[in-house]
Amino acid sequence: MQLVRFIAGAVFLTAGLLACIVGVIGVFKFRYAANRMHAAAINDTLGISLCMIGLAILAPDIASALKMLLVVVFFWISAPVASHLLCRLEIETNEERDRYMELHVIEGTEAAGDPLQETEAEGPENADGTELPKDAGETAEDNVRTETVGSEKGERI
Amino acid sequence: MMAGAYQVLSVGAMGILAVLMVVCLIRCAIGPRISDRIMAVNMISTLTIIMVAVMTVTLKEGYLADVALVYAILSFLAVIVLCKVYTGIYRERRHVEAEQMAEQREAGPVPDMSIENAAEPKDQDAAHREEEGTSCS
Repeated sequence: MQLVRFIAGAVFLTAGLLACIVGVIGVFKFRYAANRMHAAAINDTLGISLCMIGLAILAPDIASALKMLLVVVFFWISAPVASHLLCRLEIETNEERDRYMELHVIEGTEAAGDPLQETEAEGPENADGTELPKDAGETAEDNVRTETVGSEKGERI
Repeated sequence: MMAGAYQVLSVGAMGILAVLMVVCLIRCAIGPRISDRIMAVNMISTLTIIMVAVMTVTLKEGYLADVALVYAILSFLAVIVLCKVYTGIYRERRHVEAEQMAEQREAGPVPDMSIENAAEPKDQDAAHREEEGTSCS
């Protein structure tokens, strides 16, 4: 029984560490900050979840095992919020973002006085050929969908 | 025999985590943008939480799980505060630059550069384009 428990915990912990390694390698592989954020999210979700499940199996008592699972639940809640804030910071402060991504305002979020409006008015039209809404709003910044387009080869930003 | 296996597993896991933390620190040092640095700090704190949990199992001390939980909360708070602070610094800098631009252009005709419009970051770029004579309207 002890051996089965150890093997199960060791397998989960090793899988979590492999996920962490993949995330850290991905942070060095991608060229743009938003892509790197995607690689870092592997670390925050899959890596810590598998590690904590494995360590909860190996834990000395039931209370500390439950606390480790509580850490996983907390990360499920907090990691998307942190990623959202980081992506807003990146989009807002990057003055050359048009080279790396296209911003699309999601329909139904129009208002007035948006900092992204110039980008939308000047950029290419939507995929279906419709005009982007000119009067996109302050709240539309929360609802932009980012797509990275091919940047210059071999350039690291 | 079982204790030796636990020892090998925990030492190996902590060695791997230490190497990954150093690599994340390199990313934090060379990261060209501020969001890269904040992201690297977030990854380092995630790996630290895993390390504390490994120590919980290794030392058989239950209270270290509490430490991991509190560390998770603190790292989340750090990311939020850093993002808010740097967004605020950027907006303030753009605001000051826009005010200086408006003061410089007071002599010539100012088409649409009131202070409220100049406060927005993209209107600054619009001011640049208007100066170069490639107005987009």
